[in-house]
Amino acid sequence: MDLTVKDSRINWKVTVIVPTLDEEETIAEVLEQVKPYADELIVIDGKSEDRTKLIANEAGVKVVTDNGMGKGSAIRLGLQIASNPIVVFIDADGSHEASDIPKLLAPIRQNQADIVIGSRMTGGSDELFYDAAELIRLTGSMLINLTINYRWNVRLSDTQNGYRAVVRDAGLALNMVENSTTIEQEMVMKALTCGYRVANVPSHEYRRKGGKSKVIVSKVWVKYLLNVIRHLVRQT
Amino acid sequence: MNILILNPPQRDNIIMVKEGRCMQRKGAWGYIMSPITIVTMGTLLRNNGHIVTIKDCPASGTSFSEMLASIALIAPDIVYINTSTPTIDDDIYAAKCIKKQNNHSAIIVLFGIHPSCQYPTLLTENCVDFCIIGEPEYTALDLAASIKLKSNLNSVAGIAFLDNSEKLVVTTAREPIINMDNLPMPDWSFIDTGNYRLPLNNEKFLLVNTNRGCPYRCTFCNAYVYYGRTPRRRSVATIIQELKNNVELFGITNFMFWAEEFILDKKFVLELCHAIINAGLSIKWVCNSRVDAVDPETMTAIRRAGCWNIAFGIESGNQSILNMINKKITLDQIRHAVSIAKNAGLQVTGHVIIGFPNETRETISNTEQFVKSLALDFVQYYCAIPYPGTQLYTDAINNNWLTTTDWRQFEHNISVLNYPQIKAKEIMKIRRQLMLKWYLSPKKVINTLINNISQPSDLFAFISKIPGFLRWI
Ligand SMILES: Nc1nc2c(ncn2[C@@H]2O[C@H](COP(=O)(O)OP(=O)(O)OP(=O)(O)O)[C@@H](O)[C@H]2O)c(=O)[nH]1
Ligand code: SF4
Ligand SMILES: [Mg+2]
Repeated sequence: MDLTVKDSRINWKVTVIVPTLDEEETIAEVLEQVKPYADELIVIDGKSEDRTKLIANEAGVKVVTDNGMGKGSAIRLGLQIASNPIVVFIDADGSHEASDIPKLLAPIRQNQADIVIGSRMTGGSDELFYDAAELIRLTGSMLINLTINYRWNVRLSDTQNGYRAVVRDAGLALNMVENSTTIEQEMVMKALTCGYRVANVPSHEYRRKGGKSKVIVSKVWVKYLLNVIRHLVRQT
Repeated sequence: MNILILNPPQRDNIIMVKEGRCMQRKGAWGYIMSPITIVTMGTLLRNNGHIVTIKDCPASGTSFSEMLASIALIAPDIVYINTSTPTIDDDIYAAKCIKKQNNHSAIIVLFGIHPSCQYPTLLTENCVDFCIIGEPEYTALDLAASIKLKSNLNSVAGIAFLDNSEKLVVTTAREPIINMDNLPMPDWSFIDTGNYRLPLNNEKFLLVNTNRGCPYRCTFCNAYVYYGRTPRRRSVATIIQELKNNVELFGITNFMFWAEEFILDKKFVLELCHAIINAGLSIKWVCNSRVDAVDPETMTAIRRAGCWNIAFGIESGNQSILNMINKKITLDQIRHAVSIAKNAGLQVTGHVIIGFPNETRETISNTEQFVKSLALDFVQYYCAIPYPGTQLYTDAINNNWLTTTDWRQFEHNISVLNYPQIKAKEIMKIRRQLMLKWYLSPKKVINTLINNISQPSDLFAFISKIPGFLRWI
């Protein structure tokens, strides 16, 4: 029986999880850039039909296939198979700046946060007001932020960004169920309900550097809205 | 032998629960636990040819004089008295009265954690013939046999007594019951099961002993005195059989799995849950666990098998206090455990203690903030009690922290520890405030109602508990 208390957070190692779905144009570069920051690096692929997996394999990176239900299943699987106490999620489309990883880790290692999300609001985004769809998407996510801030009495500027560092045990404790990208906000809302500390750090969002977006605003907004409402009425 | 196993009433009519390390006023929510130790002991003695009567006076509302009158009729050869630290004065008083009225013919034996530690003093009371040290069932059986056969008492392991020259004799230590399946299943027909009901919905419930023994050494805990530090458990088949009996013979489907820490052996817990489901048992139960034993798989399994509430020893919201009391858990582990249990669909109870050594207003405030941030459904705040047998007791004596030697004050709502930096009075005051703050928050009240009340009669039962609850607080 293990009677010892776990060691301090300062020494916690990092697993970086890169969820992919048909990202052959950008995956090699992303993996290259992320490597120096990762004690463990895993690509979790949602049944890509292009050369994504092949490229990742060639780069010597471990590739695991999820159940293909969406990005949410990749996140959940990532938390389960990561072997380090901190898990960083970063997109495979080149939207995120790998050198921001230390910024995401610092609040966790200093025991000031359990989930740290890169904020596009304070870090800037190439996509702000780029087109009508982007405007709607931005407005929607701002509204969700406001709602979350009000309900849980926090001041978060970005709750939707997939670029985040998570204390693995905290992530697992949330018993997340969302299969799609709604998992990002599910994670935030459940974490706040459980009293986990969620923080933002500025991180710049680049426009996707290749490939196609998997999130089509006109198709998903209802799902996002219903998901928020469900968590608002949930008992603590 | 004609044997009486007795849980005496308190003279001031306070109802105390005495079940091993659990020594407290009738729970905060006004429930009395079914007395599993005395019933198991009674079953064991009866199965071995003795005539056994069990009296759980606090639960049946039997007064002191009623108790004495019925004991006069029973005229027992041996009376085993269940004791605890805060009730010991009343327990001794009962012993005295019984001795007197039965013409000193009844042999009085005390058992419980308190006499296991305090036997030298207790035996000087001339109404006490024996103290059982540690796990009581088989010692009680061996002692009864020895008394009957008038054989050498020195050969009964686990007892203390004064010999003919008034010299203290402590026999060899009793070995813990290794094969717990040897213990009989408690025959609840000894008592009126209608006296033991759940707080919120008023349904009958029974304790079921799953395992005993805890390897940890928390400085405030006296559990090891009774059950030692080696975890032992009953077989899954035996527990399932007992659950079936309870359902079929007594029509009871609510249970509390009774153990120092239910989840010490994850494999066992998963097997048990599996077996409950396979047996088609439709039961509801509660259990407890250390937070570091919690994982999503186990929580999901217990939820599926009918567990609806799990209790954690959170103790403190300050890491250095947790370290000092040797609890061997971290604040992170507490938060993870509560979250996992909550997200698995369980209600979660947190047991929190204030008034440990080194405690300051600030560390108590850390605890309050931390507890508030957890997704808990129920919280009980206690004052740290230096029960005999604990490290805390030794430290309290050595540092002169004790405010009193009156055992009646050794109960959870009262602090008997004065430290240089914070006094007992203030600790008590803060405890009460914390309880009130928690339960009078409108959100908590509404959530409790929504989660626990499913029909009008539940609401009635709930309302009827409120005065008791306020008195407890
Ligand atoms: N494993 C897996 N990964 C996915 C799935 N859908 C998206 N991803 C990955 O998740 C990350 C985010 O997806 P994106 O399509 O970039 O979503 P977004 O960043 O919100 O939108 P844009 O960058 O504007 O296209 C990318 O690395 C995708 O490859 C999926 O179903 N399974
Ligand atoms: S973990 Fe600590 S408090 Fe719980 S039974 Fe073991 S020693 Fe006692
Ligand atoms: Mg993207």
